Amino acid sequence: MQSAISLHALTKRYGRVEALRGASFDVQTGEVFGFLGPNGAGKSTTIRCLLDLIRPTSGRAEIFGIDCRRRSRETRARTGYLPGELALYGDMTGAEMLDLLLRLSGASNASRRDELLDRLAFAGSDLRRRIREYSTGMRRKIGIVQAMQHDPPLLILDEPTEGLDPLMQEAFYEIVADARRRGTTIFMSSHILSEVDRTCDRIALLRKGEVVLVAPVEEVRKLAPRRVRIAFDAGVPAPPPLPDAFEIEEAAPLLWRVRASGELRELLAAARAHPIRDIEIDTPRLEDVIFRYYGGGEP
Amino acid sequence: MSGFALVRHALWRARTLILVVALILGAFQWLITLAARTFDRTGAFKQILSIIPPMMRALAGDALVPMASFGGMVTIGYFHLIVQAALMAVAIGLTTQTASEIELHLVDLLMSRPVSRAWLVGRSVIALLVSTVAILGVMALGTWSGLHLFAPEGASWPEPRLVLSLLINLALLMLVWGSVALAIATLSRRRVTAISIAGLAALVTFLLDYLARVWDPMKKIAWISPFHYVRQMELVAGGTLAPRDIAVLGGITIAFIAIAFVVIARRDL
Repeated sequence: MQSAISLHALTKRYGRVEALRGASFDVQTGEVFGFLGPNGAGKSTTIRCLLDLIRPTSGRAEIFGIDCRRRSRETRARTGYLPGELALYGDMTGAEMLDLLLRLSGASNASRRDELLDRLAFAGSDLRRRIREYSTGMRRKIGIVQAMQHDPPLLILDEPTEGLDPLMQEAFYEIVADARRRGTTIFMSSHILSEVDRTCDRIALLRKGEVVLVAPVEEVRKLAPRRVRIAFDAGVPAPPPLPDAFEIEEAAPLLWRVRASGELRELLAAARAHPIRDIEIDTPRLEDVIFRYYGGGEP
Repeated sequence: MSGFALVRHALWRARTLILVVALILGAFQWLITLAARTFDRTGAFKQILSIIPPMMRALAGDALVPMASFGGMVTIGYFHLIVQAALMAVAIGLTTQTASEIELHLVDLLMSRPVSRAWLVGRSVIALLVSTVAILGVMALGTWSGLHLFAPEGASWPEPRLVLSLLINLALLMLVWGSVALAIATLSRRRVTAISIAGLAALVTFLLDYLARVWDPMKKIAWISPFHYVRQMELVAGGTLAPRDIAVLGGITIAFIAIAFVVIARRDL
């Protein structure tokens, strides 16, 4: 299958500062791809290279196999973009803004505009108001609609739910799920890890301009240590020595609390010799892995 | 073509500025015609000529006598410093829009569409041309209607050729400073920077030309000022537009527009 996005050793320097260092990864057509990293990691730089807003110092980026630098108009024609720092003309109405951006897209009709506005609970009367009168959430909704109204095959969304209330975040997740079902590729930068966990198939993690992890969300979650609590009916001795994958946090007579990376076979075998009353295993969280990467380590 | 949407948008955004300036300068042509009629009726032109000291006459040159007439006074609306400054301000304001859009990140939305970057410059050039034609057209209309409505009987009207020459001079002034500001805007990340640099350049080159007209040592470097090639007083005194002046001003305009196209194609937005 053709990649929707391919980065090949993409590097961007601003004087002595290296904002992006040899970033390489592929986003498959039809997947929802999360792009994560702390502030200043190079996420926006990567996105701006993809849109040819900035030029890489070396390396190259492709969208659907087309070079983003040499044939940028072709790549941009296949892309809908929601910027993180969304700026709109305050003296235009929402409808005028959407019309302008639609015309610039070269699309003749906004096939999905009404549906999107409806799902985001954006009233038609609000579309006739000046954008300067809009709340942050309303601006964000306009941002989402302008990116998707012409139904492009690739969506690049930078912090898409920033400023949306929980109800509208939920509506957005459903819109993303629908787009994915229709085969749209979604490349999404986000700080909300629960959002990434919920919506993305795979993620890439960027740290100080370098890609440090590219993996399916499910696999990343597996990298997270799980917290296991085993309660006993009667007092039991401390667990026997366990492999390095297990870190014993508490070994009381009635309760063992263990952080486990990987399979639980050895731990459960050790516990089975005792009268088990209850076992609780926390669901591994994406955050537990991501935060370690953010901090400079590896899980 | 989607680029035309940018042109339409630029004109739509500039419409109030263009309209207001055009109406003010058009109305000014009426008022100056009314003032000239009063001067003509009261014989003020003869009185002015008689009280002006010889030194002032020397400074004003050959234009003084034609200026002190109904037809001469009517043309003041085409070369008064404030009129020139207003037109240059409009030109600079219009062509620095790109710097503002880069500064405010509006360019991210615009240029994430399949639109060539050249349209950022192209639409500014078109907006500059349209505003130049519109404002100067309204000014000419103001003069034409003002003369028909208010000119005293028997008073000599300014030659259409003179008015046209003055209009061409003003148009070239707008195009030069618009293109200079456009090139600076494509190099800037902030609109205020672009406006300041273009404005200061206009002020410095104006003062340089002004000094060169009254002080010989400055004449050697006066050629670097675009104002050196704008000679309205000579036109009022009966001169004609020099093709060399038109070529220089046109050349400056084309050169700076070309710089703007090259810069916008290469820079990070």
